[in-house]
Formats: sequence, structure tokens, C-alpha cells
Amino acid sequence: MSEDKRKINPSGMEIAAPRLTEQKASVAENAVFSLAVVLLGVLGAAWCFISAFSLPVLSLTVNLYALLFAAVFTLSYFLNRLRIYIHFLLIVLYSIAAWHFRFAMAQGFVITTNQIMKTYANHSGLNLPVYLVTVKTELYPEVCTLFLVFILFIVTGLVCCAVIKQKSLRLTFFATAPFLLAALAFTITPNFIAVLSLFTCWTALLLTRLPAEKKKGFLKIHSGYAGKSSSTAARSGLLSIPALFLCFALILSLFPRQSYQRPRELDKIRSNLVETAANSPLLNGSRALAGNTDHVDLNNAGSIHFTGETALQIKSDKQYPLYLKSFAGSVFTGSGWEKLPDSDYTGINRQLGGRNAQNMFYLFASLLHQQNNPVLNPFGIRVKNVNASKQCIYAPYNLSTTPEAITGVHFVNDEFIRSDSLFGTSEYTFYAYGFGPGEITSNISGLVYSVMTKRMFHSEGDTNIPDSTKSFFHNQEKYYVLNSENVKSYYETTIPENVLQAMDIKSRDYMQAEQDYRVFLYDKYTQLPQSTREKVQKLLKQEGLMDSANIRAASQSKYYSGVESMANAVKRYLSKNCSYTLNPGKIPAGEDFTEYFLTKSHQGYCVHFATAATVMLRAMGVPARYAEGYIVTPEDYKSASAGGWANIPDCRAHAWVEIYYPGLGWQPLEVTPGFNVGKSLTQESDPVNPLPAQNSFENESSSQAESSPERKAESKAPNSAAPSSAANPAAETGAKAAADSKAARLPIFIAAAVLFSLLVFTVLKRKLGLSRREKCFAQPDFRQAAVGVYAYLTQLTKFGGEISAEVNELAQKARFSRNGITEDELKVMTDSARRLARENYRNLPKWKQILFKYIYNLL
Amino acid sequence: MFRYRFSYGLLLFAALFFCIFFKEYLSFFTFLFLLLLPLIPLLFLLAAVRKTTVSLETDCSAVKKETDFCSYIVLKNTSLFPVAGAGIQISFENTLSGYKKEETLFVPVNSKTEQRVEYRMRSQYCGRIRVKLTKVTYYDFLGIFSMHKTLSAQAELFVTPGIYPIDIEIDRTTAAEAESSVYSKEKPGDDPSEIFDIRPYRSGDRLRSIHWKLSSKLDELMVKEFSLPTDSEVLLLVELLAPDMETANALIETFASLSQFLIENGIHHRIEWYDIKSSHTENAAVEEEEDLAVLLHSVLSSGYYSDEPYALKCRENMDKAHCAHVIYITGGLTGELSSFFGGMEGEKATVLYAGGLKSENDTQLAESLKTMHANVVEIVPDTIQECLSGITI
Repeated sequence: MSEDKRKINPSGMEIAAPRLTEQKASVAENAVFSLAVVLLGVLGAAWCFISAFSLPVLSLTVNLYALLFAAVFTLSYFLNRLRIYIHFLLIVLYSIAAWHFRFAMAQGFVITTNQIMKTYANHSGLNLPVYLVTVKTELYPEVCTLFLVFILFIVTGLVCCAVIKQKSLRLTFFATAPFLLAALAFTITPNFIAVLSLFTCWTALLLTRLPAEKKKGFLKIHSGYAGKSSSTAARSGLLSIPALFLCFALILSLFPRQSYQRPRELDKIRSNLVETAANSPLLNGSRALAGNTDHVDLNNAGSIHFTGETALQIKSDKQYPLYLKSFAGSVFTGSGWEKLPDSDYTGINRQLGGRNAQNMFYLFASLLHQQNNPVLNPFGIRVKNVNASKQCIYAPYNLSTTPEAITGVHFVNDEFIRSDSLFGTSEYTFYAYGFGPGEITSNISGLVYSVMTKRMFHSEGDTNIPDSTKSFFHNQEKYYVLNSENVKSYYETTIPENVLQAMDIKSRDYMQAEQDYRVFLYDKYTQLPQSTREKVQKLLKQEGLMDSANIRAASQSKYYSGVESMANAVKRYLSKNCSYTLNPGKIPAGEDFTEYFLTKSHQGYCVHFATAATVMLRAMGVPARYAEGYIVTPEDYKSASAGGWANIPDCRAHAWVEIYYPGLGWQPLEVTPGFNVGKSLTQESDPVNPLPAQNSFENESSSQAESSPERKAESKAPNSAAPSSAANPAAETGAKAAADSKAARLPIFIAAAVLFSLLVFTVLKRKLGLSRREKCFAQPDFRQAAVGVYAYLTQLTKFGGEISAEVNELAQKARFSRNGITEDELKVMTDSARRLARENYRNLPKWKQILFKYIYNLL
Repeated sequence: MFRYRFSYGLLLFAALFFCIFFKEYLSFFTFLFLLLLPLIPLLFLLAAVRKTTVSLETDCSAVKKETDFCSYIVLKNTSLFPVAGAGIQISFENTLSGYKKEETLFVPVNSKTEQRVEYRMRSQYCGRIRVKLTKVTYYDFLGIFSMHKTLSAQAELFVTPGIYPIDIEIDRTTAAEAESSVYSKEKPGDDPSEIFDIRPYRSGDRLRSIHWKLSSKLDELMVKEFSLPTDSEVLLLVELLAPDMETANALIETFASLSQFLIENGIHHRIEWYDIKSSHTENAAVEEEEDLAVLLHSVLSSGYYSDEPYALKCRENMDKAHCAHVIYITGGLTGELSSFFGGMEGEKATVLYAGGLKSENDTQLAESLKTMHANVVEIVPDTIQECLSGITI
């Protein structure tokens, strides 16, 4: 028994490492298994790639060459002595062939690339380049096949090395998976058989990795010894391949591909995950103003600061002032706005019959065949998200783009639109009608009239209106004046059956849907927490905006000429009693946001005003929503680049109120003093005097003062008010400074990244080096271990100290003597080395210590 | 195993993730496949384990010291399915020294084969080597499932002590005077001239002790228990008191060599020792080599101790030996020796002390024993032959 195999212990018993004696490994079994796995892997990868990108190839040629290469490489690995010569010969032949066919290969490469680009473009909507091919179309299969065969050669070589020599599942996976992943990354499903072939290859290797023999003999482990056996691996692999096929057959028979329907639960989980991830600060960035996708936390509405950086870029064929909404808050919690739960929409979505309330105006215009009427200011807008939240989709009002007409985004019920992608959507296009806030209004009577007469605008002398309808109009006259008592019944007005019957089927459906939606929204969008409602109603009554219990006399009742009139009253109140500031401070903990703003602080910015106005309107019985996003003024278009892209800075982030107009859908209502989007008036250009009494607020919607059944949905030409000439030097300077700092950020970022990579590399290198050294010292072959220790000692002596005579002697004994050294003698050497390392480290200056420890990894 | 289960869990989770985010059939198929995959190696494992056996063999039953010997773990799988790995728990024990080592051997078991794993061993000292397989755990090809089976395979062999030819002077005059016919009334012995008792046959009884006449009458095998003469010529009192295995080995070799010499010279003698495992003094008469061999096996199975001179203490409480010569073989000198040898009347006494007089205490004790006319001989391991020459029996 040789010295290095014995383990001596004090009781005198020596036990050598175990030796396995078994039947000689069957070369045939090994070879068959290896060839089978290699073929499955190579053919699987090849056909995944070919089928995914529809490459024009000669199938039989590809298969035959794959088989040939697999056979040759497999054989070369089993003829150990001749392997290197065979490989050398193959490389030479390959090089010669590649040189000879270089032009055809190049064309094959270009054709393959073009096919890949084309397929990617079809699946992603991206514009990808296509390159020129000089060969004739009839020769495409040949040159493509030629190119693929050359690639196949390399892949087969890699796979054979991974399967036969390295017996590594990981390497095999890395050599073959890219061909599948290249397709899956763009949701392209390759040929199913090819995929199964790859799965079989990987799984067969997975199932044989445990017994697969990489090194001869038993390996020492901490609790004993572990042995491997290549014959066991090969036999188990050969048995597992048919078992895998059976498994595939079982799955395919129980769950056939043709009748597969994706379970809805999976889609639900997917959208929940996307939403959760999207709402995380990691992916969504900050949750600042106009960056929220599922709720607004008003507790964070403290001071706000704008940098002037471009948040969005827009390009439009018309320069309309716009409210680009990203979020609408439906449920007020007292400290924030949230969207309505999806379950609340189950009934109304069914009633709307596939229509979306965000397209209300478009549906109305389409019913009247007016959808392309230029009077309605149809326009298109392309939005590029530069720095805003990528999950938010900033969409204009009065959309004619329906959910089916746009991909990559989804309409969140009747509230807003958000991105479908986990990482957001950076560019999108919408079509809409360009009306500013208050430019158009409507009421129920007006809507019925339009639908009945198929006229958007009222004209005199209409006698085609049935009497029942006239009777309905007459009945509606009581709503010419609204107050908190009758506003509910106004919204919940149901159109009589005989009026509906007088309409055609389409109009009837539309009116029924509109009515259902109106009733729904009244129920949902007038809700408030009870305590908030009571406090705000008390305030409204005190301020005379709402009837109090004591006022019963008609002369003293508070009446409004319409919903817009109620809204304006709220606006005026806020303008008079609250001042605008970007630094109102946070609401103290425990305080109701609205109550605090209205009764205590009286100062805030758009978020405060919009929230307060929405709450007040709801308290008055008017359904209203909080909305935020970005505003676009006509002034912004003037700064458009040569390409037509206008930069929308972050200071355009804004919050406003939405109120519902029958037939028109939700429309924006500006409530923040100093803002008039149509006139390019913002707080920057037109700062509001902090004293509410000095505000010179313009009431731009004088046409909204009265409402009668004869006043139909009106459209106005786009607001062509002279742009405000007030420059915004602060924003410009801010923008420049922002651009500079952004430019400066890049080199810093690069430097930080490089530093970080170096750090990571140093740490990993040290760990690897130390672990390798320990393994070398602990190996069962004491000779080799001693040589390793001696090499380590030699490195250490460069920093001082010397190798003792005893260790020198032991090293020589290990290297040259017949019996080698014992474990105890090796321990003497390693202890000496460690001692020297510690001593040297102690005696070195600080900077050399770092070098010693982290660069040379000697301790 | 935890590592493989964790990896499988991660893989399944990744497949689930793939299934959620990739809407095509492929993702669903992949998830289902990975869910069902562990069943394949599990079925292989169940089919293979039923037809796999593990046993233990040795190539001999007794070897000499410093001689290689082998134990074989035989794995036989008659099924069609291989086993990815069998983890066998093995223990190696030397009952004399009490040394025990356990380790685990992981080895794949191919189908339709018999595999042998050879453990080559060597012992520097004598003793009884016991190799035991206690448990085997079979693992599937994914490393997720395992099946345990308890084993009770065991193999033993004896590493015999070196028996050296020695040259000792025999004083037969003392031996003749010491002859007596006093027998022990409490314990049986081996002196056929006097029968101590007759009892039914027990396994291990010698054939020559069977009382054939009585057995034929009673139709049941009956044996004679011979008496224990309390006045044997030579008593070898073996004290397995030793600080280490080297000393224990030396003292066993000493008494074995001495006993062999006495056998060769036709001197009947008794050997007495204390079995620490059964807490019992054992006594045997030695006339032939076969008796020595049987006795050696018992001694090697007993184990040495390092705290008290148990054999000496038991001897003090027993009937007087009444022999010509008491040879006390020990690995440690203790104070009890003085009282023991002090109480001896007329018998010759020799102390063979294996290990050497290292401390002053030992030297003083040796001197005091000499004053009691006991001969103290120092036995140095590896020089037993030389140390024993020169003594007189």
C-alpha cells in the first residue's frame, strides 16, 4: 500500500482509499449515448433556429451534415490517442472549405441576418435594417444551407466537447440554448419537435450528471469517498431517453397542443405581477406628480421642485393645448386617491358591450357619422417618454383611438391608460378630438336630441321630433337649474322607453349604454369618506355654496345653471380662499388632506386644488374625479425642434378635475388658479399673487353659463389665443443646468461602473485564488500538495522571510523520493507556509499589505 | 441533497415564471414537463432498489500485523435500472484498542452487474478488526429522492500478535514441588483428573469433555466440567493495563510468546486476564497451541484499559494460586503489586513490564518488588525476544 493512500491514525490502523472493481465500461453504450445526446442537441438547436426565422434551407442536407459532424466528433473523442490529430485535420479542412466558399457563406450570412431582422420586425413592430443580397433568389436555399452547415460544424464541436469530454450540462446548455432563446426573446415559438429534441438532450444530461465520471477513482469528500461510473451514466441515459419520449407523449395526449387554451388565472397573475413590478420604485422610478399608476398618496404632497428637464416629447399635426392624462383617481381615502377595483366594473363592462367610456365622444361622433368632421378638431399625437414614468401613458381626452387599435398599452376601464410592458412603453401614438376644458358641454336632453336627429348642433325648425321625445325634453327642463338636491336625479335620469323606441337600433344601444354608464358613474364617483363628506358639506353650507338645512325658502336656495356652473363656483371659492405655492409643507399626520387644506393651511399647488375641488364637487353631489398628467400649451409647440418634437418639461406636470358630460365623456376642468392651458398661462408665466383676493382669474367658459335643451354639443375652434410672451428664464436656465448636469453624470457613472467592476473582480479573484490554494493543499495526493505548498512559499519569500531547511528537505522528499511524504509532514509544510504568510503580512507597510492580500492573494 | 432539491425548486419556479409570461403552449408544456420529470428517476429508483443488495466480505479471517488485508463491499443490482448513487455507512473498529472510524461511501450501482469496492487495510498492532455496514441510502438521478435501508452486514478478522521464539531457562525442581491436588470448589477448570460437575452440553464445549456414557443413558449430550486445580505450575496473569496501543500490543505479544514457549516445552500453565467488556476475570488452562489460539481470540476481543489493575485486584480476592511461578504481565506498575506479591508464600514471582520504566515512581516500585524477591523485567516493544531471554521459569 503506497504511503500516499494510507490514512494513519494513533491506533495503528491504516485504511486506503477505496477502489471500485466492476465490469469494464461498455464503450458501445457510452458511444451510442453520447452520439444520441449530441445529435438531439445539435439538431434541436439547428431546427429551432431555422424554423423560428423561417430560413430557406435544404432540410436533408442540414440533417445529413449534422449527423456526419456528430459522428466524426463523437468518434474522435473515443479514439483518445488520435483525437488531437483528427481535430487538427478537421480544423484544416474547415478552414480550407471556409476560404473556398467565403463569398457564398457571406451571402448566406446576409440572407440569414435579413430573415432574422424581418422576423423580429414582424413580432416587435420595430424598424430593423435589411441588407443587400447579391445572389439570385433561387440560390437562397443553397447559400443559406452552406452558411448554416459551417455554423453547425462549430456548434457540433462545442456540444461534443461539452457532452463527451466535459460531461457538463451547463456547457451544453450554453452551446445550444441561444438558438432557442433568440426566438423566445421575441415570443417566437420554433418548431415544437425541435424544442422537444433540445429538451431531451438537456434532460438526458441532467439525469446522468450525478454518476457521470469526470475523474477516475474515488474523490475524497468530508464524510468519506464518492465515486462515479461512466457506464452507469451511459446506461441510465439510454434508458431515460425513451422514458422522456413517453413523458412527452403523455403530456401531449393529456393536454393537446391544438386545443390548448391559456387559463385565465395565468393572465390575471401576469397582469398583477406586471402591475406590482411596475409600481415598484425600482422599475417605475419616482412616484412624483404625474408618475403614479395605481394610487396617489397625498401624504407625500409636500414641497415640490421642478428641474426643467424634458419629461416628454410630443409631435402633433395640430398645435392644440392638451391635457395628457396618466392617472385618474376614483376613490378618495382621505389621504390619497385610488382607482376603482376591477370587480366594480364587471357589470358595467358587460352593459357597455365592449365599448370603452374613454372613447365616449368618439362613439357619439361615430353614431352621427361625424367622426371625421374637421369641426371636431381631429388630430394625431405621438408621445415620446423621455424622463417621465414609463409605466404611465399620457393620453389626451376625447380619444378616437380604441383599445383594439393600439398595442402595448391597455385601457384601465374608464379611468386612464397604462403600459402593458414590464419596463414601460416609451413611444406611442393617439388620435383624438381637440377640445380644451370648458369648450364643449352637453346635457342629457341635448344628447337625446343629437342622437334622434343625427345632428350635432341644434337647428331651428326641426319637426321630426316625436311628441314623446318633446315631452321628455319638457320634463328635463326642471334640471335647467341644479342644486345638491336634484343633481342626483339629473344624473340618474332614465330615458323613457317610448323615446328609445323612436330611435334606430344603434342609437338605442348607444343611449342605453350611456345611460347605464351615467348611473354607474354617479354611484361610484360621488363617494367620499363619511367624515370628509360631513366636514366639506358643512363648509359648503357655511360658504353658501350648498343649501343648508335651515334654508328652505326657494328664494334663498342655492341653484346653479348646470354642472359647469357648480364647478365654476367651486373654482372661484378656491381661488378666493386659497393661495398657490410650491412649498406648502406636508399635511400633518392624522389630518384629513382636504379639510386641512380648506380650513387650516389654505395653500398648496395643483394637487391640493384638484383634490379639494373634486371632494367639494362630490360633496355637492356632482360626480367628479381627480386627474393628473402633463399639460401642453400652445407655447410649448413653438419650442419644437426641426423634427417637429416639442419638449414638455417636468414643470408641466399637473393635476386637475374631471367631470362627466353626457355623450362627451369625461372632460378636464382646470381649478388651479393661474392656469389656463389654452392661453399658455401657468404659474411660471403668470404667477398668481399669493393673496387669494388679488387673483385675476379669467373665466374663459362664459358660454357654459346657461344650458338648455336647444344648446347642443358645441364645438369650438381651437383656442387661438395669443401665446403668452412671457418667457420662462428660470425654466430655461434650469433646463440648461439640467442638461449640463445630465451630461456630467455619464462620465461619473462610467467611472463608478468601472470602479465597481474592478472591486467585484478583485473580490472574486481573491476568493477563487484562496479556494484553489486550499483545495491544492488538501488534495489526497500529498506529493502534489507539497509541490503546491512549496510554490506558495516561494511566492511568499518575495515579500521577505525564507524557507526553512526542514521544509526544503520535505519538499525534496516529496518531489524525488519513492515513498513521498506523509500527511503529518505535509502539515508541517503548510503550517510553516501559513506562519510565514502571517509574519510577512505583519511586517509589510500598509500599501504593500493591500497588494499582498488583495492583488497577490497570498493571505 | 438539499442542494439538488433547491436547484430543482428554482428550475420549477423559473418554468412557472416562463409559463406566466409567455403565452404560448410551449411555456405550459415546459412547466408540466418539469413538474412530471422527477417521476422518471423516482420510478427508476423504486425499480432498482428492490433488486439491489449490499454485502460485505473479507479475504481472510486472520492476518499478521503489518500485513495488508482487504474487505470488499459487494453491490449487486439485478434490475434493469441503474442506481445513481448508493451511500453506504461503514464503520471500522479495532475492539482491542477501542478505535472506531465511520465513513460514508458514495458509489453508483450499474444495472445487471456486481460491483466490488475494495478497502485495503493494514494494522500496525494486533486486535480484532470489525467492519460493519450499518445503513445504505439510495439516490435517484436528480438527487431529489432517496430511500434508506438498514444493513447488518459485518465482517471480522483477527490481527494476530507476533509470537517470537524465546530462550528461557526452566527450573523444573520448583515445578515438581509445586505439584498438588487441591482443586477449586467454586469454579470449574481444565484438570481432567477431577470432575467438578456434569451438566448439559452447551455450544462451544470441547468434544473431549462430553460424558458419552451418561449421554447415551440420558439421550442428551452431557459434558464433564473438570476441576480447577489451584496449584498449577505456572500462572500467567495478564494485566491488559496499558497507556496506549503500542504497550498493549507489546504485552499481548509477550504473553503469547511466553505461552507458546511453555507449550513447546510441555509446561502446563494457566492464563488469567480481566475482560473489561464483560467485567469478568477469565481463566484458561493452556496445554496445546489450539488452546492458545482460542484464548488469544478472546483476549483480542476484550480490549485494554488504562485505569486500574483489574486482573490483579480480582486475583487478590480469589483462592490462592498455589503454583510454582506467577508471571504478571502488565503495561503499568501500580501500588497493588506490592501487597499482592507481599502476600505470596513460596511462589516465584516475575513481573514483565511492557513499556519500560520511564518514571521514578516505576523505578521505585520495581525496586520494592525486587526486595520481595519478585523479578521485574522491562519489556521494550519490538525487542520482546531479547527482553525475555534471561528470565527463568
